[in-house]
Amino acid sequence: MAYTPQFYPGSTSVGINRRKHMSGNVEKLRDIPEADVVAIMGHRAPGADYSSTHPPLKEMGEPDCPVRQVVEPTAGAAAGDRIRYSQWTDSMYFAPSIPYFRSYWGAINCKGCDPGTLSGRQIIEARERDIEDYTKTQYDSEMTDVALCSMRGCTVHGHSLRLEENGMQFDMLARTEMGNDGNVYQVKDQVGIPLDKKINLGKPMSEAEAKKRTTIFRFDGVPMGGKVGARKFDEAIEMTHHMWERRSKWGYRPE
Amino acid sequence: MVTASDTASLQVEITPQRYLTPATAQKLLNEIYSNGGVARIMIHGPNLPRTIPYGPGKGTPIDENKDLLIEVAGQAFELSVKVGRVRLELESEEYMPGLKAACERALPFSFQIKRGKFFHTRPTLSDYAKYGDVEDKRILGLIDPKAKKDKLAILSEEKVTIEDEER
Amino acid sequence: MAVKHTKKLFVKALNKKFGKDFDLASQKTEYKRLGPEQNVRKREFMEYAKKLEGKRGMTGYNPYVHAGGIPLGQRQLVPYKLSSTEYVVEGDDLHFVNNPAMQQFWDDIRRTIVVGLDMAHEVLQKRLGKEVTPETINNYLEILNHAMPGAAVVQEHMVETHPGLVDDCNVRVFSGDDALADEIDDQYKIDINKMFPEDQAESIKAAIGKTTWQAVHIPTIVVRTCDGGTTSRWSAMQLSMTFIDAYNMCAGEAAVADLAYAAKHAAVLQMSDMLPARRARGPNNPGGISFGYMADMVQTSRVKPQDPVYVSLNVVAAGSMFYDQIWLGSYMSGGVGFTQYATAAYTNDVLDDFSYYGVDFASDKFGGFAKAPATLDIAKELATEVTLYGIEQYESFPTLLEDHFGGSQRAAVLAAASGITSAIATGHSQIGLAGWYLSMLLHKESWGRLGFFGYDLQDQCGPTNVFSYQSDEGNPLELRGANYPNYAMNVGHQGEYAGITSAAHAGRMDAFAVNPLIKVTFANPGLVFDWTNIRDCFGKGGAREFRAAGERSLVMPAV
Repeated sequence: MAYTPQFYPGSTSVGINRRKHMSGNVEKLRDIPEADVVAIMGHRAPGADYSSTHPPLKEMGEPDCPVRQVVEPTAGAAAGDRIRYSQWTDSMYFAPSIPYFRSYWGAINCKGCDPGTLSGRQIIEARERDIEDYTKTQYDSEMTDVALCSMRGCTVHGHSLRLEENGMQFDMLARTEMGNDGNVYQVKDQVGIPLDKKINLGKPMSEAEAKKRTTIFRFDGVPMGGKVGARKFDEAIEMTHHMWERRSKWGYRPE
Repeated sequence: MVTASDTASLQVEITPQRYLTPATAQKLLNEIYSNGGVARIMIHGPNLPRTIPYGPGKGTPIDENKDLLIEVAGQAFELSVKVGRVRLELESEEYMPGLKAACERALPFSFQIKRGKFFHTRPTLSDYAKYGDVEDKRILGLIDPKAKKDKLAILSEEKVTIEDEER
Repeated sequence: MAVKHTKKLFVKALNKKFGKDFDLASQKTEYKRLGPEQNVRKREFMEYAKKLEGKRGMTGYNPYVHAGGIPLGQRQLVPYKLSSTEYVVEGDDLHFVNNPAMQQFWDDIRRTIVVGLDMAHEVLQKRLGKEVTPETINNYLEILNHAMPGAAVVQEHMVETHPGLVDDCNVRVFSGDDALADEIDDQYKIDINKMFPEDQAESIKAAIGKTTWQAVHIPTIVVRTCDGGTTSRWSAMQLSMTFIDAYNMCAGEAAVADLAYAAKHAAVLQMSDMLPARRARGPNNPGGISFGYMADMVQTSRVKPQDPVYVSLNVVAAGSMFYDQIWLGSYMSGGVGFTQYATAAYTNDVLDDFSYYGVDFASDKFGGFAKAPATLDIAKELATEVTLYGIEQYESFPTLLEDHFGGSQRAAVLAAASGITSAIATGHSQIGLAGWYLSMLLHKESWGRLGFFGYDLQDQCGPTNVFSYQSDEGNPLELRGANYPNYAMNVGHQGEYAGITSAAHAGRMDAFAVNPLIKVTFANPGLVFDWTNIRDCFGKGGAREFRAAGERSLVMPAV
């Protein structure tokens, strides 16, 4: 390809990290075993067969469609998996990832994924074995901090709340807990059903590291627009101005 | 000279930098109580449900939110919220410096104390629906309208100092 | 820190409940389930609560607090202060089903119709050769105010409505013609010169010209039993009967048809536009009320014109409650509703703070209100500044972020402040709207989140339509409404758009936003809701201080 995508503007750490997330060039920080990821997602027991909504595509036979011929089905689609989901809640207090950027990551880097973006949660839906794959990638990468991000299928309240004393994001259903060893343990699946065993997710980032890896602009981190009385616009603002102005003028079409 | 502002009651809100564990909440509330001059007190924070409220796991017990029993001023009660804010009415200005010191002793992180008006004085529709004609106006604003009966604790009026507690 | 609990404090309770000794000694702070401490007071509570239970049909709870105890309560929701008022109420008190003031707000709109008088007078004079003088008009109005609530004026053996049920019904007349207005009996007129500041009165009279109109408000109880479609018809019935009586016509003579046609159609101003089939409600429905009309209904502009922010915020409160809680939250859905999407915009002084900041900033820079050029650059500068300021407030004050715990709430508040600022600074509603959209886009880039799933659909495609005048795309904001194509689905926008509309005109010190007839009609002191101070009145409703009309207790047995 002659063209290299730019993904996102800005020369601060926030801009750089946003480009990392969007491009998928994120650092791997941990290795959560696949079976554990599956257990946390809660859609099937680890090791169990996948449920299907239709027979494998090869058995079914597909209509004669040029698009289908050009596009390789994902593993999940080929097998006929049901669509399942992973949903994340990211704290506004310097979680590495933020909802739209999880969605961008999914849309750009993950085939066959349907991202949904809200403020208190972000969801990706895909064929079951595909979403397991994508979830593990997210879990292992710097997109996720185990104290400030959590998988929550319901009762998501917490992104806009102050942190707990131990630095964890508040969770009404207590799906994760901080162990005495300083590691964060997943004790329930994403909808709050207790797991058979606790899963060690590892140590959370320090405050300094979270601030370094975050993609959120904040006045006590990297502000997007400087401060009151001392405005300094990040390129993200200039980009937004440019886009908004063009959109507004295009509708007018003075010519 | 005693001025009106010296003797008038005042309302404050304490906002710690973090949400409190039950142990820290207990410590803070006891320190506040020991400082004296508290007319009424309200703790606020997100609900801690005892079972999963909805979703595929609905009804599953949440053990982490049970047995959150704390003891303040000789009264034991269960915490049903994660303590994030404490609003209270002090009898007079003289208790303010002590209140700040109490917070400093109890909280290992920063906090803000704000003055204002935090308890409403006119009973609202919800108050009428819950209590009928309100007898004791101190109750206004203290509890959620939908609270079940054991969300109100009555702290002893007799001062219990830290030395009195057996530790 | 290890805390060792003594047996003295707990064991009695434990033994009572579980009948055995629990070991509480522990190296950690660990809490076991011990059950509530049984005491005399709690038993009293429960007994008293049971007494009230039977009476009110719901679980009551009356904590009778002994004078000697310090009460300690736990809450998950903080109460809400109605912005710029002293009223503090619970969230439930602001659900429209619980709040009689909010209900009366919508009842007042639904029961209102504006009917011109000149056409009828022409018919009387030209077709019937009858004299129309101030004396005949006053006589007509006296009879009309008797008839409109549902009393007979022409026929015998008529059954009538009970006056005690319909005493909120009234008709008042207004005119841009001072000479005529002077001749009308005070009790039957809306005196533009009295109700409005001088400059606004002049402007309104010039706009209305030498025409005369009737502000008709049929009984609340009628629109609660029937619907808004009843209003123009009920009104036309009684208007026609009154003409017959007042001008000694033969009941049913041919000319009556002209009067009826004028009263029902030709000289009628509905409160709302028609909706397409799948959203269809009767006339005078909420979905068809334009933002300009909402801005004109709210009367704050005539009592505090020197403070355009205050004026706009009252319109935001009116619009958010009306469009989000009643229209989208009930007509278009229902159940728990959308209360907290709306309350974010009219409680706890948050929007007030952001808006005053913005308008002060703009005012300092441009030398007052409506002084900045109406350009995209101004919207860019002001919306950026206000949005960044607001974001910083949410970041600096964690409890503010927690009170507006939802992204949609924050988005609506930030964008409303940006839009109101841009509109007041330029006096131009489209610039205000452009500022609103920029705020949404900046907010999204800053925090990587915005509102609920689909919240910002209209905000992403909105900028293209601000200045477009192609059908189904563009429209001055004054003429857009809840059913403008992209606005129709989602909460957290419509009320604020009404606020931005009003801001542009308040910044220019205009007497009205789009329709002087609406402005004057809602200045009628005979309305039950307090249209000059929206948030105060909502607060009264929540504080059990507001008496709504349409009460039926008169005709029902006592409880």
